[in-house]
Amino acid sequence: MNDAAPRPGARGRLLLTIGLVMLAVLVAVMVLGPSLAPYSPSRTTPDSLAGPTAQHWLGTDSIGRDLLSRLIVGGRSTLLITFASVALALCAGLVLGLASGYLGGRVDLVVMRLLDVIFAFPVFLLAIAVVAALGPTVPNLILTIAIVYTPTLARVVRAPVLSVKRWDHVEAARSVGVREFDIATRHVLPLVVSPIIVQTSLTLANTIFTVTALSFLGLGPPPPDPNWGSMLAEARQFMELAPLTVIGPAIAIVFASLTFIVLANGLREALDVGSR
Amino acid sequence: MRDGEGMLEGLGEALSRGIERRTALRLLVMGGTLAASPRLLAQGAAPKRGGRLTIGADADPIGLDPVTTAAFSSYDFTSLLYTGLLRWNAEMKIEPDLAVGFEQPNETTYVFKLRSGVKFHNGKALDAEDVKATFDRIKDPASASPNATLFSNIKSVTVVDPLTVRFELSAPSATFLSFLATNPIGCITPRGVGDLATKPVGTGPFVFESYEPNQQFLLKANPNYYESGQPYLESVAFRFFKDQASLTTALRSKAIDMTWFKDPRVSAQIVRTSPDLVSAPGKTTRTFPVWMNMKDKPLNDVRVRRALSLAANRQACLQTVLGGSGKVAAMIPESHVGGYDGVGDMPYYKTDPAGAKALLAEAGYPNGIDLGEYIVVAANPLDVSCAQILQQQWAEAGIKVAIKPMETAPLLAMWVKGEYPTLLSVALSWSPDPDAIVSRLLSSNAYGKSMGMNDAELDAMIVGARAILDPAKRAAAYQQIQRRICDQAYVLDIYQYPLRWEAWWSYVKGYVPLASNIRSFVRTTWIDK
Repeated sequence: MNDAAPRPGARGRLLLTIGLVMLAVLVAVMVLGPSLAPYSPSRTTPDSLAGPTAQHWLGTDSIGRDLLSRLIVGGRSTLLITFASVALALCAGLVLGLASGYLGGRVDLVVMRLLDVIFAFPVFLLAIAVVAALGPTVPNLILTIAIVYTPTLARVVRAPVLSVKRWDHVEAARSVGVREFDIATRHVLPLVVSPIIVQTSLTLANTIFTVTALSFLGLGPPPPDPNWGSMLAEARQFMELAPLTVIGPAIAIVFASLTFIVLANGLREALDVGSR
Repeated sequence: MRDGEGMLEGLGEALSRGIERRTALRLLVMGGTLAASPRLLAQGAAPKRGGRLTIGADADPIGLDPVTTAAFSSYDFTSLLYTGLLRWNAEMKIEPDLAVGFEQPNETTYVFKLRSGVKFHNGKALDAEDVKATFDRIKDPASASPNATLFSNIKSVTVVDPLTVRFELSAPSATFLSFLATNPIGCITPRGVGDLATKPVGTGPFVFESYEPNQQFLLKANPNYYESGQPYLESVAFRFFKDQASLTTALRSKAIDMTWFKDPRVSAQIVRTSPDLVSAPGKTTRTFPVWMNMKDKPLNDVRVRRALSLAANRQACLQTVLGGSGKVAAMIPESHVGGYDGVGDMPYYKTDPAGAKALLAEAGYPNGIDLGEYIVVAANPLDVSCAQILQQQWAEAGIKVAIKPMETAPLLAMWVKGEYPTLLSVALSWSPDPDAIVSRLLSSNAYGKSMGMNDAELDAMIVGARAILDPAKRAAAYQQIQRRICDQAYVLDIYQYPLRWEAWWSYVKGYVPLASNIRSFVRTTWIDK
């Protein structure tokens, strides 16, 4: 272990606090979404591309739907897809990374080469290909993004496992006849958690972009369900007519990814991952 | 806008009273400019020669041989490179072009006299043999020409002398001249010249110079063009832009002089913020229909279809999606013989969700009905928007649909084969003749079969209308056909609108946009900078 005491600096604590507050906002929007929205997000009115008014705080979109309501409900959809796909990727990454790192040998070789194949594809090319092949539905989108980010997480799990599994306490556990499965999950995994948490947070930030980008390209949830990406795509050509239709979802996307980046940095300093 | 339209109509009457065509055209051009920008009143209108017109295009051509191309994106280029025996004037009336006129000794025979001294871009003179060769090529199955079915009623094309050609039809046809006048369908190509698709050779006002896909298409003036003095421009360049946003920017920065937009609100906004931009009012040529698979339950029941029609609020769709720049639609757009004017009474057009529910209950769906997937073109934001509004309107009458935006190519295949589950929307663009539109509903037509059309009475009406040569009687027949279609709710037409909204800087003079969105009038365009 490290000689210096793991002391989370003031900067780390501050980042962590800010990150957690931002995350709380996102989670609130996600959980309370539809009850916060002033209107149904798919209710159209002939009053399209109107600026902010007392009824519509952010104005309306190209077919007269309340922008604020779409932003809130769209955020729920965007974030749910993001969390679900990262959760899936994390599970797969944990299993594959732990198995690969702990068991080593042939398992390691096969698993890592398979993941390398996925890793070799550019993220978007792979995502577009998979969504196009499976069809653009929400479960498919989640599955696709999970596949895309599994290799990154698996590698982050595998690397520390390779060293931790040679530590004395692991040898000790093995010598008293603890089952391999229990050694891996109880004696190795807890020691590699920190980098995984940080990487997960960073992956969430990237996933926000991937989800909204795929949705921007028309591979997200079908209309009229709102999503920050598809909202941007719809609003793009009216950018000059109604800037809020673009600025709204754009700021939301930046806020969400910034949340996870701040959180990741805060966690990195708090958990002292970098110096390990 | 309304004044401008009035002026156009007035000139149309002047035209029909026999004012010399060129004068009338010039008047028309001035009229259009005046209506758009009164400040230009004092300027004279003698065309200046030279200069280049740069046009912002939204799609690359797919083949430049008028006999084989079927892509709208090619028409921009064929309309400058090639000409035909007849053409549409600014009023969408047919006038002679390569022909100086024609005689009709009987209902099925047309004898065209050709202009003398017309040369193809390769220097060879045009004669009647070229006309015959063009139609031989259209009829030849080996060329797989999309125009073959349009001209299937031509029995023979005979060369009488080098400047006279006779067409014999198998039956009287009101559509024949419309097709001949349409570019590229009626374009004449030189005989014995191969590979026109990439090396076009025509008789048009401009000559092919170079083409770099996705970049630029260059044309230069044809010094041998047969209209005296035309074209005024030295060259025309098309620059390609993949999306509307970059087209907008390019027009603003004057990187292009002229372009067109797919959304009326974008075009209106740009013109409003830059007073020196001219925008054409645009005639409604395109309809947004909901096609139905009537081969099976539940849409084989007319009551369900009528319920869909009653539950739809067409006016609300028009207002929300197009900001009112268009009209309510029936099968035939207003710019056609017998087209629907958007206000006349049509069966099952009055929005009535309660009536729709009653019809559904009568049909055996008292608790509403789930029609499943409603397929729309993902690439057309206007279509996707309208579908979402319809989805809501239908929901109020207890009709549930799930919108599925699809890529264009597989969607078209699905439409042609009738393999969509219940509802599908794909807009119908301008076609040279109303017959081409309503013929889709014939029970013998491939489209009609794919939809499950089986209406002997409508079949007889459609076939009968083809042979009516009197325009007024023909218009009445098409009105009847449309009423029948609305009454049986075979197709739900929502709104009609221009295919594109054209816009150009005011220093571009002499240009007239056509309802068919084919830029033939670049030949009379000049630059005043």
